[in-house]
Amino acid sequence: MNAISTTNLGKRYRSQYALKGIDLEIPRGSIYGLLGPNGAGKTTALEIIAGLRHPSFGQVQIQGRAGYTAYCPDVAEFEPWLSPAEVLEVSAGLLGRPKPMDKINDMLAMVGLKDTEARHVSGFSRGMLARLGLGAALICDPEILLLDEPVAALDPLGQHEIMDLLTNLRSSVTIVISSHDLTEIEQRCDTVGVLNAGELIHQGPLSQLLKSHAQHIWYLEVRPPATELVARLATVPWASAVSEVSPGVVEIHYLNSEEAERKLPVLLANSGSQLISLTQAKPTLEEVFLSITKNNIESAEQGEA
Amino acid sequence: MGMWRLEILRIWRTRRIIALTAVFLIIGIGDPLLVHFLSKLIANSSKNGVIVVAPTPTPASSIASFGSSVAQLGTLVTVVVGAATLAIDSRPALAAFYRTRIRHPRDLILPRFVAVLVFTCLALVIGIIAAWYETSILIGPVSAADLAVGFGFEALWVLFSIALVAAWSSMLKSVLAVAAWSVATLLALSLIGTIHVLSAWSPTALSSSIGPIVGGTSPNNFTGVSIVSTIGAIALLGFAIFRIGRREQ
Repeated sequence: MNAISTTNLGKRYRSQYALKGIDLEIPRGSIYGLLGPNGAGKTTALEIIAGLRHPSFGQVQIQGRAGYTAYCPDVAEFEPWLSPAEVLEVSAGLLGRPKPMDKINDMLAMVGLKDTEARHVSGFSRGMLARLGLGAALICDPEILLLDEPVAALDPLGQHEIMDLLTNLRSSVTIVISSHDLTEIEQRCDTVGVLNAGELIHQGPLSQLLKSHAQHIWYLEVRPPATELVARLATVPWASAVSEVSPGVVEIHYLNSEEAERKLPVLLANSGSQLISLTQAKPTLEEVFLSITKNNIESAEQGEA
Repeated sequence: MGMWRLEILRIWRTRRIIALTAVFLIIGIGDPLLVHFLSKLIANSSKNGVIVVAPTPTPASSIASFGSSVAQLGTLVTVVVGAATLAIDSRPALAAFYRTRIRHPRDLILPRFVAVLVFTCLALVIGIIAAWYETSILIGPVSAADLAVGFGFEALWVLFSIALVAAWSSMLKSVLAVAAWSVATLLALSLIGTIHVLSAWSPTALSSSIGPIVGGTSPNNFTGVSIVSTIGAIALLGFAIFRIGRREQ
Protein backbone atom coordinates (compact mmCIF):
# COMPACT_ATOMS: atom_id res chain seq x y z
CA MET A 1 0.00 0.00 0.00
CA ASN A 2 1.30 3.43 -0.91
CA ALA A 3 1.58 6.18 1.68
CA ILE A 4 1.97 8.76 -1.07
CA SER A 5 1.06 8.50 -4.71
CA THR A 6 0.93 11.20 -7.33
CA THR A 7 -0.91 11.14 -10.62
CA ASN A 8 0.48 13.13 -13.53
CA LEU A 9 1.82 15.69 -11.05
CA GLY A 10 3.17 18.77 -12.79
CA LYS A 11 4.39 22.24 -12.01
CA ARG A 12 4.87 25.01 -14.52
CA TYR A 13 6.45 28.41 -13.93
CA ARG A 14 5.35 30.50 -16.92
CA SER A 15 6.68 28.49 -19.88
CA GLN A 16 9.17 26.47 -17.81
CA TYR A 17 8.19 23.04 -16.50
CA ALA A 18 9.66 22.12 -13.10
CA LEU A 19 7.73 18.83 -13.11
CA LYS A 20 6.33 17.26 -16.26
CA GLY A 21 3.64 14.95 -14.90
CA ILE A 22 5.18 12.43 -12.55
CA ASP A 23 3.56 9.35 -11.01
CA LEU A 24 5.30 8.71 -7.72
CA GLU A 25 4.43 5.61 -5.73
CA ILE A 26 5.90 5.68 -2.26
CA PRO A 27 5.19 2.53 -0.25
CA ARG A 28 4.07 2.90 3.36
CA GLY A 29 6.88 2.35 5.85
CA SER A 30 9.59 2.61 3.22
CA ILE A 31 12.60 4.87 2.96
CA TYR A 32 12.23 6.34 -0.49
CA GLY A 33 15.19 8.06 -2.09
CA LEU A 34 14.35 10.84 -4.53
CA LEU A 35 17.39 11.35 -6.71
CA GLY A 36 18.23 13.71 -9.49
CA PRO A 37 20.69 16.36 -10.60
CA ASN A 38 20.28 20.00 -9.59
CA GLY A 39 17.09 21.47 -11.06
CA ALA A 40 15.53 18.04 -11.62
CA GLY A 41 12.42 18.99 -9.64
CA LYS A 42 13.08 17.12 -6.36
CA THR A 43 12.45 20.08 -4.06
CA THR A 44 9.39 21.16 -6.06
CA ALA A 45 7.95 17.63 -5.76
CA LEU A 46 8.56 17.55 -2.00
CA GLU A 47 7.11 21.04 -1.51
CA ILE A 48 3.95 20.10 -3.43
CA ILE A 49 3.51 16.95 -1.33
CA ALA A 50 4.07 19.05 1.82
CA GLY A 51 1.37 21.48 0.67
CA LEU A 52 3.73 24.43 0.28
CA ARG A 53 3.19 24.69 -3.48
CA HIS A 54 0.14 24.14 -5.64
CA PRO A 55 0.49 21.73 -8.55
CA SER A 56 -0.19 23.19 -11.99
CA PHE A 57 -1.82 19.88 -12.90
CA GLY A 58 -2.15 16.37 -11.54
CA GLN A 59 -2.91 15.13 -8.06
CA VAL A 60 -1.29 14.04 -4.81
CA GLN A 61 -2.91 11.33 -2.72
CA ILE A 62 -1.68 10.92 0.84
CA GLN A 63 -2.97 7.91 2.73
CA GLY A 64 -2.90 8.99 6.33
CA ARG A 65 -4.16 11.47 8.85
CA ALA A 66 -4.10 15.16 7.95
CA GLY A 67 -1.40 17.08 9.79
CA TYR A 68 0.87 14.09 10.20
CA THR A 69 3.16 14.89 7.26
CA ALA A 70 6.34 16.70 8.32
CA TYR A 71 8.70 18.51 5.97
CA CYS A 72 12.31 19.58 6.56
CA PRO A 73 13.75 21.98 3.99
CA ASP A 74 17.39 21.69 2.94
CA VAL A 75 18.41 24.75 4.98
CA ALA A 76 16.37 24.76 8.16
CA GLU A 77 15.58 28.12 9.71
CA PHE A 78 14.05 29.03 13.06
CA GLU A 79 13.40 32.12 15.12
CA PRO A 80 16.92 33.06 16.26
CA TRP A 81 15.66 34.25 19.66
CA LEU A 82 14.20 30.87 20.63
CA SER A 83 16.05 28.10 22.43
CA PRO A 84 16.08 24.66 20.74
CA ALA A 85 13.68 23.36 23.38
CA GLU A 86 11.30 26.24 22.63
CA VAL A 87 11.51 25.46 18.89
CA LEU A 88 10.36 21.90 19.60
CA GLU A 89 7.69 23.24 21.95
CA VAL A 90 6.39 25.56 19.20
CA SER A 91 6.60 22.80 16.61
CA ALA A 92 4.43 20.40 18.59
CA GLY A 93 2.24 23.13 20.10
CA LEU A 94 1.17 24.59 16.75
CA LEU A 95 -0.16 21.19 15.72
CA GLY A 96 -2.05 20.90 18.97
CA ARG A 97 0.19 18.10 20.25
CA PRO A 98 2.02 19.72 23.16
CA LYS A 99 4.81 17.64 24.64
CA PRO A 100 6.14 17.58 28.20
CA MET A 101 9.64 18.93 28.78
CA ASP A 102 11.18 15.49 29.34
CA LYS A 103 9.99 14.38 25.88
CA ILE A 104 11.45 17.54 24.37
CA ASN A 105 14.78 16.96 26.09
CA ASP A 106 14.75 13.33 24.95
CA MET A 107 14.20 14.47 21.38
CA LEU A 108 17.04 16.99 21.60
CA ALA A 109 19.30 14.21 22.85
CA MET A 110 18.11 11.92 20.06
CA VAL A 111 19.12 14.40 17.35
CA GLY A 112 22.44 15.17 19.05
CA LEU A 113 21.59 18.54 20.61
CA LYS A 114 21.62 17.47 24.24
CA ASP A 115 23.90 20.18 25.61
CA THR A 116 22.37 23.10 23.77
CA GLU A 117 19.20 23.69 25.80
CA ALA A 118 20.44 26.95 27.27
CA ARG A 119 21.56 28.46 23.95
CA HIS A 120 19.54 30.45 21.47
CA VAL A 121 19.22 29.21 17.90
CA SER A 122 21.01 32.34 16.59
CA GLY A 123 24.35 30.77 17.51
CA PHE A 124 23.68 27.46 15.76
CA SER A 125 25.76 26.16 12.86
CA ARG A 126 24.07 24.82 9.70
CA GLY A 127 24.63 21.29 10.91
CA MET A 128 22.98 22.03 14.26
CA LEU A 129 20.05 23.67 12.47
CA ALA A 130 19.65 20.55 10.32
CA ARG A 131 19.55 18.40 13.47
CA LEU A 132 17.05 20.77 15.07
CA GLY A 133 14.93 20.68 11.91
CA LEU A 134 14.74 16.92 12.14
CA GLY A 135 13.93 17.11 15.85
CA ALA A 136 11.19 19.68 15.17
CA ALA A 137 9.67 17.29 12.63
CA LEU A 138 9.96 14.15 14.75
CA ILE A 139 8.48 15.74 17.89
CA CYS A 140 5.20 16.03 15.95
CA ASP A 141 4.91 12.20 15.68
CA PRO A 142 4.80 12.26 11.86
CA GLU A 143 3.50 9.39 9.78
CA ILE A 144 5.27 10.77 6.71
CA LEU A 145 8.60 12.57 6.82
CA LEU A 146 9.75 14.57 3.80
CA LEU A 147 13.44 15.45 4.00
CA ASP A 148 15.18 17.68 1.49
CA GLU A 149 18.94 17.04 1.66
CA PRO A 150 18.79 16.16 5.37
CA VAL A 151 22.49 15.48 5.84
CA ALA A 152 24.06 17.93 3.38
CA ALA A 153 25.17 20.31 6.15
CA LEU A 154 26.52 17.59 8.45
CA ASP A 155 30.02 16.19 8.88
CA PRO A 156 30.54 12.51 7.97
CA LEU A 157 29.95 11.33 11.55
CA GLY A 158 26.83 13.48 11.84
CA GLN A 159 25.57 12.15 8.51
CA HIS A 160 25.96 8.61 9.75
CA GLU A 161 24.22 9.35 13.06
CA ILE A 162 21.22 11.01 11.42
CA MET A 163 20.89 8.32 8.76
CA ASP A 164 21.05 5.66 11.51
CA LEU A 165 18.27 7.50 13.32
CA LEU A 166 16.15 7.59 10.17
CA THR A 167 16.82 3.94 9.44
CA ASN A 168 15.53 3.05 12.90
CA LEU A 169 12.26 4.83 12.09
CA ARG A 170 11.70 2.61 9.06
CA SER A 171 8.31 0.87 9.02
CA SER A 172 6.77 3.19 11.62
CA VAL A 173 7.31 6.30 9.48
CA THR A 174 7.34 6.64 5.70
CA ILE A 175 10.45 8.64 4.86
CA VAL A 176 11.14 10.40 1.58
CA ILE A 177 14.71 11.65 1.25
CA SER A 178 15.97 13.89 -1.50
CA SER A 179 19.73 13.68 -1.49
CA HIS A 180 22.90 13.96 -3.51
CA ASP A 181 24.67 11.55 -1.17
CA LEU A 182 24.18 8.43 -3.24
CA THR A 183 26.25 6.25 -0.92
CA GLU A 184 23.88 6.95 1.98
CA ILE A 185 20.84 6.50 -0.27
CA GLU A 186 22.21 3.16 -1.45
CA GLN A 187 22.76 2.00 2.12
CA ARG A 188 19.48 3.21 3.60
CA CYS A 189 16.74 3.40 0.98
CA ASP A 190 14.68 0.49 -0.20
CA THR A 191 12.92 2.30 -3.04
CA VAL A 192 14.19 5.04 -5.32
CA GLY A 193 12.81 7.46 -7.84
CA VAL A 194 15.11 9.23 -10.27
CA LEU A 195 14.07 12.62 -11.58
CA ASN A 196 15.73 14.38 -14.47
CA ALA A 197 14.58 17.70 -15.92
CA GLY A 198 11.16 17.31 -14.34
CA GLU A 199 10.60 13.74 -15.55
CA LEU A 200 10.53 10.58 -13.46
CA ILE A 201 12.94 8.41 -15.43
CA HIS A 202 13.05 5.48 -13.04
CA GLN A 203 11.14 4.28 -10.01
CA GLY A 204 11.20 1.02 -8.11
CA PRO A 205 13.02 -1.07 -5.54
CA LEU A 206 16.69 -0.14 -5.28
CA SER A 207 17.77 -3.79 -5.59
CA GLN A 208 15.89 -4.07 -8.89
CA LEU A 209 17.53 -0.92 -10.23
CA LEU A 210 21.01 -2.16 -9.35
CA LYS A 211 20.27 -5.60 -10.76
CA SER A 212 18.99 -4.19 -14.03
CA HIS A 213 22.26 -2.35 -14.45
CA ALA A 214 24.47 -5.25 -13.38
CA GLN A 215 27.62 -5.42 -15.44
CA HIS A 216 28.70 -8.62 -17.23
CA ILE A 217 31.92 -8.83 -15.28
CA TRP A 218 33.20 -11.49 -12.91
CA TYR A 219 36.15 -11.36 -10.58
CA LEU A 220 37.58 -14.84 -10.29
CA GLU A 221 40.16 -15.37 -7.55
CA VAL A 222 42.35 -18.46 -7.67
CA ARG A 223 45.53 -19.53 -5.89
CA PRO A 224 48.33 -17.88 -7.96
CA PRO A 225 49.67 -18.33 -10.53
CA ALA A 226 46.68 -17.77 -12.83
CA THR A 227 48.65 -17.73 -16.08
CA GLU A 228 47.25 -21.02 -17.40
CA LEU A 229 43.67 -20.00 -16.54
CA VAL A 230 44.03 -16.60 -18.24
CA ALA A 231 45.43 -18.24 -21.37
CA ARG A 232 42.48 -20.66 -21.57
CA LEU A 233 39.89 -17.92 -20.90
CA ALA A 234 41.40 -15.79 -23.69
CA THR A 235 40.36 -18.40 -26.24
CA VAL A 236 36.71 -18.94 -25.24
CA PRO A 237 34.04 -17.27 -27.41
CA TRP A 238 31.78 -16.25 -24.46
CA ALA A 239 34.40 -13.92 -22.89
CA SER A 240 35.13 -10.63 -24.58
CA ALA A 241 38.05 -9.57 -22.39
CA VAL A 242 40.19 -11.25 -19.75
CA SER A 243 42.97 -9.82 -17.62
CA GLU A 244 44.77 -10.62 -14.38
CA VAL A 245 44.16 -7.46 -12.35
CA SER A 246 46.25 -8.62 -9.38
CA PRO A 247 48.07 -11.87 -8.60
CA GLY A 248 45.44 -14.61 -8.78
CA VAL A 249 42.51 -12.23 -9.49
CA VAL A 250 41.14 -12.48 -13.01
CA GLU A 251 38.64 -10.01 -14.43
CA ILE A 252 36.36 -11.66 -17.00
CA HIS A 253 34.02 -9.67 -19.25
CA TYR A 254 31.48 -12.21 -20.47
CA LEU A 255 29.01 -11.83 -23.31
CA ASN A 256 26.33 -14.39 -22.48
CA SER A 257 25.61 -15.08 -18.84
CA GLU A 258 23.92 -18.44 -19.40
CA GLU A 259 26.76 -19.84 -21.48
CA ALA A 260 29.38 -18.36 -19.17
CA GLU A 261 27.72 -19.82 -16.06
CA ARG A 262 27.64 -23.28 -17.70
CA LYS A 263 31.15 -23.32 -19.13
CA LEU A 264 33.28 -21.52 -16.53
CA PRO A 265 33.27 -24.37 -13.93
CA VAL A 266 34.41 -26.86 -16.58
CA LEU A 267 37.17 -24.55 -17.79
CA LEU A 268 38.25 -23.94 -14.21
CA ALA A 269 38.47 -27.66 -13.49
CA ASN A 270 40.41 -28.35 -16.66
CA SER A 271 42.94 -25.61 -15.92
CA GLY A 272 43.74 -27.21 -12.56
CA SER A 273 43.34 -23.86 -10.76
CA GLN A 274 42.37 -23.75 -7.07
CA LEU A 275 39.24 -21.59 -6.72
CA ILE A 276 39.10 -19.08 -3.84
CA SER A 277 36.11 -16.95 -4.83
CA LEU A 278 33.92 -15.80 -7.69
CA THR A 279 32.11 -12.48 -7.44
CA GLN A 280 30.03 -10.50 -9.86
CA ALA A 281 30.92 -6.85 -10.34
CA LYS A 282 28.06 -4.80 -8.92
CA PRO A 283 27.52 -1.25 -10.07
CA THR A 284 27.22 1.38 -7.38
CA LEU A 285 24.10 3.53 -7.24
CA GLU A 286 26.26 6.43 -8.32
CA GLU A 287 27.31 4.59 -11.49
CA VAL A 288 23.72 3.61 -12.25
CA PHE A 289 22.48 7.13 -11.53
CA LEU A 290 25.08 8.67 -13.85
CA SER A 291 24.30 6.11 -16.52
CA ILE A 292 20.53 6.58 -16.55
CA THR A 293 20.61 10.37 -16.28
CA LYS A 294 23.22 10.55 -19.08
CA ASN A 295 21.12 8.24 -21.27
CA ASN A 296 18.04 10.36 -20.57
CA ILE A 297 19.84 13.57 -21.54
CA GLU A 298 21.23 11.95 -24.72
CA SER A 299 17.85 10.61 -25.80
CA ALA A 300 16.27 14.02 -25.11
CA GLU A 301 18.93 15.69 -27.26
CA GLN A 302 18.39 13.16 -30.04
CA GLY A 303 14.65 13.79 -29.83
CA GLU A 304 15.22 17.53 -30.20
CA ALA A 305 17.59 16.98 -33.14
CA MET B 1 3.73 26.87 22.95
CA GLY B 2 1.07 28.43 20.75
CA MET B 3 1.23 31.32 18.31
CA TRP B 4 -0.02 33.90 20.84
CA ARG B 5 2.75 33.24 23.35
CA LEU B 6 5.25 33.07 20.52
CA GLU B 7 4.24 36.54 19.32
CA ILE B 8 4.56 38.03 22.80
CA LEU B 9 8.04 36.49 23.01
CA ARG B 10 8.87 37.88 19.56
CA ILE B 11 7.96 41.47 20.53
CA TRP B 12 9.83 41.11 23.81
CA ARG B 13 12.99 39.26 22.78
CA THR B 14 13.57 41.14 19.52
CA ARG B 15 13.47 44.40 21.55
CA ARG B 16 10.67 45.71 19.32
CA ILE B 17 8.78 46.63 22.48
CA ILE B 18 11.70 48.91 23.42
CA ALA B 19 11.77 50.54 19.98
CA LEU B 20 8.04 51.23 20.10
CA THR B 21 7.95 52.46 23.68
CA ALA B 22 11.08 54.58 23.31
CA VAL B 23 9.80 56.40 20.22
CA PHE B 24 6.36 57.19 21.68
CA LEU B 25 7.86 58.12 25.06
CA ILE B 26 10.41 60.46 23.49
CA ILE B 27 7.67 62.13 21.45
CA GLY B 28 5.48 62.38 24.58
CA ILE B 29 8.23 64.00 26.62
CA GLY B 30 9.92 65.97 23.83
CA ASP B 31 7.04 67.69 22.06
CA PRO B 32 5.51 69.55 25.04
CA LEU B 33 9.05 70.62 26.02
CA LEU B 34 9.69 71.88 22.50
CA VAL B 35 6.38 73.78 22.42
CA HIS B 36 7.06 75.29 25.83
CA PHE B 37 10.57 76.50 25.01
CA LEU B 38 9.96 77.33 21.35
CA SER B 39 9.53 81.08 21.88
CA LYS B 40 12.76 81.26 23.94
CA LEU B 41 14.66 79.21 21.38
CA ILE B 42 13.49 81.46 18.56
CA ALA B 43 14.27 84.61 20.54
CA ASN B 44 17.80 83.40 21.29
CA SER B 45 18.46 82.55 17.65
CA SER B 46 17.16 85.88 16.27
CA LYS B 47 19.90 88.08 14.77
CA ASN B 48 20.30 91.51 13.16
CA GLY B 49 17.33 92.95 15.01
CA VAL B 50 14.82 90.60 13.39
CA ILE B 51 12.15 89.70 15.89
CA VAL B 52 10.22 86.46 15.36
CA VAL B 53 7.28 85.99 17.66
CA ALA B 54 6.20 82.42 18.39
CA PRO B 55 2.60 81.81 19.41
CA THR B 56 1.97 81.46 23.10
CA PRO B 57 2.03 77.79 24.01
CA THR B 58 -1.32 76.29 24.97
CA PRO B 59 -2.21 72.78 26.16
CA ALA B 60 -3.99 72.21 22.83
CA SER B 61 -0.93 73.27 20.76
CA SER B 62 1.28 71.01 22.89
CA ILE B 63 -0.93 67.95 22.32
CA ALA B 64 -1.36 68.91 18.65
CA SER B 65 2.43 68.89 18.27
CA PHE B 66 2.53 65.49 19.95
CA GLY B 67 -0.20 64.22 17.60
CA SER B 68 1.69 65.52 14.58
CA SER B 69 4.87 63.67 15.64
CA VAL B 70 2.87 60.50 16.30
CA ALA B 71 1.44 60.78 12.77
CA GLN B 72 4.95 60.89 11.31
CA LEU B 73 7.59 59.23 13.50
CA GLY B 74 5.10 57.07 15.40
CA THR B 75 3.54 55.79 12.19
CA LEU B 76 6.98 55.10 10.71
CA VAL B 77 8.13 52.98 13.65
CA THR B 78 4.77 51.16 13.70
CA VAL B 79 5.11 50.32 10.01
CA VAL B 80 8.71 49.11 10.41
CA VAL B 81 7.88 46.94 13.43
CA GLY B 82 4.76 45.69 11.64
CA ALA B 83 6.68 44.83 8.49
CA ALA B 84 9.41 43.01 10.43
CA THR B 85 6.73 40.97 12.20
CA LEU B 86 4.25 40.39 9.40
CA ALA B 87 6.56 39.73 6.41
CA ILE B 88 6.17 35.99 6.97
CA ASP B 89 7.68 34.87 3.68
CA SER B 90 10.84 36.96 4.00
CA ARG B 91 12.53 33.78 5.29
CA PRO B 92 11.20 30.88 3.20
CA ALA B 93 12.48 28.00 5.35
CA LEU B 94 11.01 29.58 8.48
CA ALA B 95 7.77 30.24 6.62
CA ALA B 96 7.71 26.55 5.64
CA PHE B 97 8.06 25.63 9.32
CA TYR B 98 4.94 27.62 10.18
CA ARG B 99 2.95 26.86 7.05
CA THR B 100 3.26 23.10 7.52
CA ARG B 101 1.96 23.39 11.07
CA ILE B 102 -0.91 25.88 11.03
CA ARG B 103 -4.51 24.81 10.46
CA HIS B 104 -5.71 28.03 8.79
CA PRO B 105 -3.89 31.03 7.26
CA ARG B 106 -5.46 33.30 9.88
CA ASP B 107 -3.37 31.48 12.50
CA LEU B 108 -0.32 32.86 10.74
CA ILE B 109 -1.51 36.47 10.51
CA LEU B 110 -3.86 37.24 13.40
CA PRO B 111 -1.51 36.61 16.38
CA ARG B 112 1.22 38.72 14.75
CA PHE B 113 -1.26 41.44 13.83
CA VAL B 114 -2.83 41.57 17.29
CA ALA B 115 0.55 41.52 19.06
CA VAL B 116 1.85 44.49 17.04
CA LEU B 117 -1.47 46.33 17.49
CA VAL B 118 -1.66 45.79 21.25
CA PHE B 119 1.98 46.69 21.95
CA THR B 120 1.86 49.76 19.66
CA CYS B 121 -1.28 50.94 21.44
CA LEU B 122 0.42 50.38 24.81
CA ALA B 123 3.39 52.42 23.62
CA LEU B 124 0.96 55.09 22.40
CA VAL B 125 -0.72 55.16 25.83
CA ILE B 126 2.68 55.62 27.48
CA GLY B 127 3.44 58.45 25.03
CA ILE B 128 0.08 60.12 25.73
CA ILE B 129 0.60 59.87 29.50
CA ALA B 130 4.06 61.44 29.11
CA ALA B 131 2.66 64.23 26.92
CA TRP B 132 -0.21 64.82 29.37
CA TYR B 133 2.17 65.05 32.35
CA GLU B 134 4.64 67.34 30.59
CA THR B 135 1.91 69.58 29.23
CA SER B 136 0.16 69.79 32.59
CA ILE B 137 3.24 70.87 34.51
CA LEU B 138 4.79 73.13 31.83
CA ILE B 139 1.85 74.68 29.99
CA GLY B 140 -1.51 73.98 31.54
CA PRO B 141 -4.13 71.34 32.32
CA VAL B 142 -5.41 68.93 29.66
CA SER B 143 -8.70 67.07 29.89
CA ALA B 144 -8.07 63.37 30.50
CA ALA B 145 -11.40 62.55 28.85
CA ASP B 146 -10.37 64.37 25.67
CA LEU B 147 -7.08 62.48 25.69
CA ALA B 148 -8.92 59.18 26.07
CA VAL B 149 -11.18 60.00 23.11
CA GLY B 150 -8.13 61.14 21.13
CA PHE B 151 -6.37 57.89 21.98
CA GLY B 152 -9.37 55.97 20.60
CA PHE B 153 -9.07 57.69 17.23
CA GLU B 154 -5.26 57.35 17.17
CA ALA B 155 -5.66 53.64 17.96
CA LEU B 156 -7.95 53.31 14.95
CA TRP B 157 -5.20 54.87 12.83
CA VAL B 158 -2.72 52.33 14.23
CA LEU B 159 -5.19 49.54 13.43
CA PHE B 160 -5.53 50.75 9.86
CA SER B 161 -1.76 51.19 9.39
CA ILE B 162 -0.93 47.69 10.64
CA ALA B 163 -3.72 46.16 8.53
CA LEU B 164 -2.21 47.90 5.52
CA VAL B 165 1.21 46.45 6.40
CA ALA B 166 -0.40 42.99 6.68
CA ALA B 167 -1.92 43.39 3.23
CA TRP B 168 1.42 44.35 1.69
CA SER B 169 3.09 41.47 3.57
CA SER B 170 0.80 39.05 1.77
CA MET B 171 1.96 40.36 -1.61
CA LEU B 172 5.66 41.10 -1.06
CA LYS B 173 8.42 39.10 0.55
CA SER B 174 11.16 41.40 1.83
CA VAL B 175 10.69 43.40 5.02
CA LEU B 176 12.11 46.50 3.34
CA ALA B 177 9.71 46.27 0.40
CA VAL B 178 6.72 45.77 2.70
CA ALA B 179 7.72 48.79 4.83
CA ALA B 180 8.45 50.97 1.78
CA TRP B 181 5.16 50.18 0.01
CA SER B 182 3.20 50.65 3.23
CA VAL B 183 4.76 54.07 3.81
CA ALA B 184 4.19 54.99 0.15
CA THR B 185 0.51 53.99 0.43
CA LEU B 186 0.06 56.01 3.61
CA LEU B 187 1.68 59.02 1.93
CA ALA B 188 -0.63 58.59 -1.04
CA LEU B 189 -3.62 58.47 1.31
CA SER B 190 -2.28 61.59 2.97
CA LEU B 191 -2.18 63.34 -0.41
CA ILE B 192 -5.73 62.18 -1.15
CA GLY B 193 -6.66 63.63 2.25
CA THR B 194 -5.65 67.09 1.04
CA ILE B 195 -8.50 67.04 -1.48
CA HIS B 196 -11.24 68.96 0.25
CA VAL B 197 -14.17 66.61 -0.43
CA LEU B 198 -12.17 63.57 0.68
CA SER B 199 -10.35 65.07 3.65
CA ALA B 200 -12.98 64.00 6.13
CA TRP B 201 -12.96 60.43 4.84
CA SER B 202 -9.28 59.58 4.40
CA PRO B 203 -7.94 57.47 7.30
CA THR B 204 -4.95 59.83 7.53
CA ALA B 205 -7.35 62.31 9.18
CA LEU B 206 -7.11 60.10 12.28
CA SER B 207 -3.29 60.11 12.33
CA SER B 208 -3.05 63.31 14.39
CA SER B 209 -6.65 63.49 15.60
CA ILE B 210 -5.68 63.78 19.27
CA GLY B 211 -4.65 67.45 18.74
CA PRO B 212 -7.99 68.69 17.37
CA ILE B 213 -9.94 66.67 19.96
CA VAL B 214 -8.03 68.33 22.83
CA GLY B 215 -8.43 71.64 20.97
CA GLY B 216 -12.19 71.36 21.14
CA THR B 217 -13.20 69.70 17.86
CA SER B 218 -16.20 67.46 18.32
CA PRO B 219 -15.50 63.71 18.15
CA ASN B 220 -18.54 63.51 15.85
CA ASN B 221 -16.40 65.09 13.13
CA PHE B 222 -14.34 61.86 13.08
CA THR B 223 -17.26 59.45 12.92
CA GLY B 224 -17.19 59.01 9.15
CA VAL B 225 -13.47 58.50 8.89
CA SER B 226 -13.56 56.10 11.85
CA ILE B 227 -16.10 53.93 10.05
CA VAL B 228 -14.07 54.07 6.82
CA SER B 229 -10.87 53.18 8.68
CA THR B 230 -12.45 50.29 10.58
CA ILE B 231 -14.04 48.82 7.47
CA GLY B 232 -10.79 49.40 5.56
CA ALA B 233 -8.73 47.67 8.25
CA ILE B 234 -11.07 44.64 8.32
CA ALA B 235 -11.00 44.44 4.52
CA LEU B 236 -7.21 44.71 4.39
CA LEU B 237 -6.83 42.07 7.07
CA GLY B 238 -9.26 39.76 5.29
CA PHE B 239 -7.35 40.28 2.06
CA ALA B 240 -4.05 39.51 3.82
CA ILE B 241 -5.41 36.23 5.24
CA PHE B 242 -6.88 35.24 1.87
CA ARG B 243 -3.66 36.05 0.00
CA ILE B 244 -1.31 34.41 2.48
CA GLY B 245 -3.37 31.23 2.28
CA ARG B 246 -3.19 31.07 -1.50
CA ARG B 247 0.38 32.24 -1.84
CA GLU B 248 3.24 29.90 -2.60
CA GLN B 249 6.60 30.52 -1.05
